[in-house]
Amino acid sequence: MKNNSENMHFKFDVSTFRLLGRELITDRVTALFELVKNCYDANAENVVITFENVNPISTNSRIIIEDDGIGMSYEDIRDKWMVIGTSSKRRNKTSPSPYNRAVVGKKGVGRFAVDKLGSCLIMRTKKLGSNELQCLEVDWSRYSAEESNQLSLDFEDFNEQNHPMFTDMDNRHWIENGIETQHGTILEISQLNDIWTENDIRRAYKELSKLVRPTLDIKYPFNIKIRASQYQDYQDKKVVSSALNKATLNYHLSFRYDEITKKYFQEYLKEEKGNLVVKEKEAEIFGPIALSLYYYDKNAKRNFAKGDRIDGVKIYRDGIIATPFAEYKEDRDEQKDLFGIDKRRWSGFFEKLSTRDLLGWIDISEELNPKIIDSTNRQDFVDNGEWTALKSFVINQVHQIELLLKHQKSQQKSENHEKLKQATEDVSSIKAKIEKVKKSSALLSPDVEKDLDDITSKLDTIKLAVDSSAEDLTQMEQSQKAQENLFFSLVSLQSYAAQMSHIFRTSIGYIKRSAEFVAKWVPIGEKQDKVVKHAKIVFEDTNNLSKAMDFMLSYAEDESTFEYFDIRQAVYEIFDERYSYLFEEESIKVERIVEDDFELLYNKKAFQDMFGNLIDNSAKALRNVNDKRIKCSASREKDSLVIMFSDNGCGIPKENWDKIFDVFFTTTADFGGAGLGLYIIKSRLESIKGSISLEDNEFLPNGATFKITIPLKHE
Amino acid sequence: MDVEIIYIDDVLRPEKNAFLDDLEGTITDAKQFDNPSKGLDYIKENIDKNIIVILDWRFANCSQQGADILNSIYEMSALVPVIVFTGANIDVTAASNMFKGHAFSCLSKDASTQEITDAIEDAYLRIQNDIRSVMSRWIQNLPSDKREAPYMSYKDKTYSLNDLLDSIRRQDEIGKELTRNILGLAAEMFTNNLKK
Repeated sequence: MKNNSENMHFKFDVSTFRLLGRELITDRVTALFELVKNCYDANAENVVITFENVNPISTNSRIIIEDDGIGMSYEDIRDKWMVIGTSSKRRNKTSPSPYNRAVVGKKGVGRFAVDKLGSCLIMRTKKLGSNELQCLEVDWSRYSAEESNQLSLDFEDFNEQNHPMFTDMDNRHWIENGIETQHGTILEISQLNDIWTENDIRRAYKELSKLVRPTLDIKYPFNIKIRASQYQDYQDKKVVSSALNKATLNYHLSFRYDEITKKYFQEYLKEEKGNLVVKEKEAEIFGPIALSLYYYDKNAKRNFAKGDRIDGVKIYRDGIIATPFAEYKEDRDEQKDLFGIDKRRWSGFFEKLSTRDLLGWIDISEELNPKIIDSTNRQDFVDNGEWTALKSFVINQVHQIELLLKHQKSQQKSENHEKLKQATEDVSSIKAKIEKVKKSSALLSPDVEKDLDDITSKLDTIKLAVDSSAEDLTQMEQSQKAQENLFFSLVSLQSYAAQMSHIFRTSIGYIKRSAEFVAKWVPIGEKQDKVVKHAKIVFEDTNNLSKAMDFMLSYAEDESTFEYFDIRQAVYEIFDERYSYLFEEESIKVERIVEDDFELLYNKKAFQDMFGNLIDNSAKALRNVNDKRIKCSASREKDSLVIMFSDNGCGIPKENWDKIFDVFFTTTADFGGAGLGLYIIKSRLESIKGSISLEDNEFLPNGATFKITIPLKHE
Repeated sequence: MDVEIIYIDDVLRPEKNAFLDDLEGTITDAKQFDNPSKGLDYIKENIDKNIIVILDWRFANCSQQGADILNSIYEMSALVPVIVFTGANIDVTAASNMFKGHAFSCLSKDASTQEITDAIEDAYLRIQNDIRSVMSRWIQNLPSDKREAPYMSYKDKTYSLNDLLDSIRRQDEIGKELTRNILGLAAEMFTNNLKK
């Protein structure tokens, strides 16, 4: 055994540059971003990106990125720039004073982005006060050539002594004369990989315009210019965002720190009777944020120049866009919907805003929102509780705008009706006045009389047209409503299908595994007690499947079997006939009150099944109660039937209140409860825009009370 | 198998899980949680044990979803294999989220006991053979004074074996580098032997 110790060193294969550059940075616009971000970190105020002869590609094709940042000394290049994954930016979270910008390129691999753009880089860099321009040439094609050479060798023949590793490759360094007062870095990239068409430049422009927020009021600005002399629009174009002053609505929310409570308070929007009110609450777990939201209606969108686009809400960390910062997709359907704004189902198709109606940003900071973390692939955020809460906050704020628009729409609708009504009345009143004039003055000349007759006849035509418009408007609204309802049903159907397949898959899983258990262990003759249990599970879950199947069938029939039936009679049938035996057997005192006698248009069987389910649940909850009671009262409130159903059983613990309508949630599994009943009631009611909710118990001290609402008008 | 199964599902019917009855006697223990936070607490307290987690993917009325729980487990230790068990349809995005979160495998809720057992055995095999698990076990088996004593220096910082254990579990920079180094060393020793 060797006694003398030796040190081991890491070595890098020549393909490292490819790994770092091409694998980490997937898109050339992203690559450009990385390089511009480095300029930002170097305290640059101005960056000029020049595209020279980029279409078609030739030996004269260049991309030049020039900044007026702090530049680098020879030592900086040798000890930092040439060191892979330099962690100085990780150690120093801000750029040098006085800028103190939060650094954005933290992984120390941005420089490898160059390889994504072109294979040859000449860097010229200079610090303030020095008259030497440090020049470095990195020719990635030589690395590539060496890589191909090494790959063609047999593994056995490979000898690292004869073949250079990544760190052994030479890069030319020289010094040129520079002007003492100038500072900054110029990256000249040649041997370009791709042609840059005008569309590509436009794409780069759009994405770069998101890099620094347009209205961000900062002491040290960060300007980007694009120069592409081949394209008319990009001769010398400053990157700016022009979208903001075109918005229909805009809202800005901020936060404050309360010195007394030592807590942050967050502003938020709340729709109240047609107004969006800014309120305040304690900051949520993701920390305080500033949020700006811009909404664009159809007219506002028409003002947009070709190429401008409205594409949702972005996040800026310390003034710079956070991930996914440059994930540009030509097909905007593939663009990342960071907050799931487009995925929402609950607000109805026609009242829902999409990322194409909204532009906005959230300002976060490393200090106040440390748990909003970029994921390692830099295209998303780490999926933690804070991120979930932030998403839900944003969705809620978007929803408040939706409520406002909904209110405005309905107000506009009634105003239109009012105007048309007024127009009809005005016409009638003018007609009446003309008649009055005709009657009161006997000296009207025949010509004037004829004119007045003409006017009266034209007024009749106008009145007919106004009446017909009012009718058309009503019809249009009705047909729009019908369309909305149809979409609503389709969405319900989609989530219903998902739920049903979940129910079936889960139950089939239990049945399958229990049957498998029985089949395996019966012949062996062991675990007999469990064999019996699993045989029972097979039976019970088959029953569950039957129940679910019945529900599916009844759901399928719901629409076709709508009928008018007498509510009082339907309720009495349930309590006095169908379940009378159960009440007698279990000694349950029943009180059922139907205040008004009226008819409901609904599926009578579904209506009665609902009570069946509730009574079954109550009977289970009343098992250990001496004085058992069930009370059901139905009354008419505005356009709805409201039913309160109560028992004085063991009640439902508060922690289960939000779960009891979930599929498979049951607290009575021992008594055959499968967790389907309340879910089915809820789904059925929702399909007709009704609802069921759990209320504070009517009977004291214990019990449960459900409130059921069924709309009486079906639009 | 010297392994404990932890089953986290918001709709638990503990008595009905035939696969757990089937595995009884083959595994050390099985724990079931319908509250993800309690499940996570349990994992944290028992992180030294060989654990395999079976995790539901969609949680109704719960701020934490399968993806969140998966991430939380990964943050605690990258060495705990998580088998996602779901009744939902898994599309490409969901699948990508699962494996981005380092799920070990994914099973449909109608999987047979045999399929579940196979997945558990595969996960156990990983626990047995994964270099990171082997390193963790090696450290765990040492007496506590050795684990707490300074063991190595890296970038001006001193690390005890317990620090390294934590790094290996969390797969932070040092944990990853250490793992790579040991693999590299093993590969070099292996190829050196071949040359000889």
